[in-house]
Amino acid sequence: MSDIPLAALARVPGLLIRLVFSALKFKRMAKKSARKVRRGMIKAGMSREKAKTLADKYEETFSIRRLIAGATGGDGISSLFPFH
Amino acid sequence: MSDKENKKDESESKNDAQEVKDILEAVSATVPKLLNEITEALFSAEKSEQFGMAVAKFYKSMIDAGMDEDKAFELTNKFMDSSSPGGMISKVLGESGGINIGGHGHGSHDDLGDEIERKVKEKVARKFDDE
Repeated sequence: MSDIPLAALARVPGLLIRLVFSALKFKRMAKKSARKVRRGMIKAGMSREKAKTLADKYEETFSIRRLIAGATGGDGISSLFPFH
Repeated sequence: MSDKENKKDESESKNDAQEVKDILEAVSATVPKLLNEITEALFSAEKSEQFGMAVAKFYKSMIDAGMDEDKAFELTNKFMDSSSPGGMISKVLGESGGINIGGHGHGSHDDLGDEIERKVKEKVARKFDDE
């Protein structure tokens, strides 16, 4: 039997669930923020088409996979992560 | 193995288990909270709209100055990439060498990793010699 006590192991699923919820919240907020950025661009007089392209790029910068790849040097760990 | 050594091993493994428990407790309490706080700080509605306006103004100022539309758009794209919170996070992580997992990280920390590995090996060897 493992040396790690059951009380410690019991915390792992809870931690994973909380991390998944945090990641989902991060994605939701990034999407919302990209919408606001697009609205700001249109308000300042940019064409809708260009504003959409730039807002999509803005949203892409918050890709969790990309952030993990950047943090780990793109060694494939990010591909294990289920969120884009 | 003697009883004394068995007891020593048992107490060491108990200490390790306690450490794992403490680490998991700390991680489960702080990491999700930290992520939520960062998320809220990064994506405030007001700041996002202001950022969008700043990007559009940057683009317009280049067009007004007589720059070609495609070139202006390309520069705006670069400007946005480098000044958006996501771009900044990527840049900071990239420049700092990131997190070195399993020794597959960026090369800049390879020397440090080797040095740590050497020291740990020395310490382990010394411990075995003492015993």
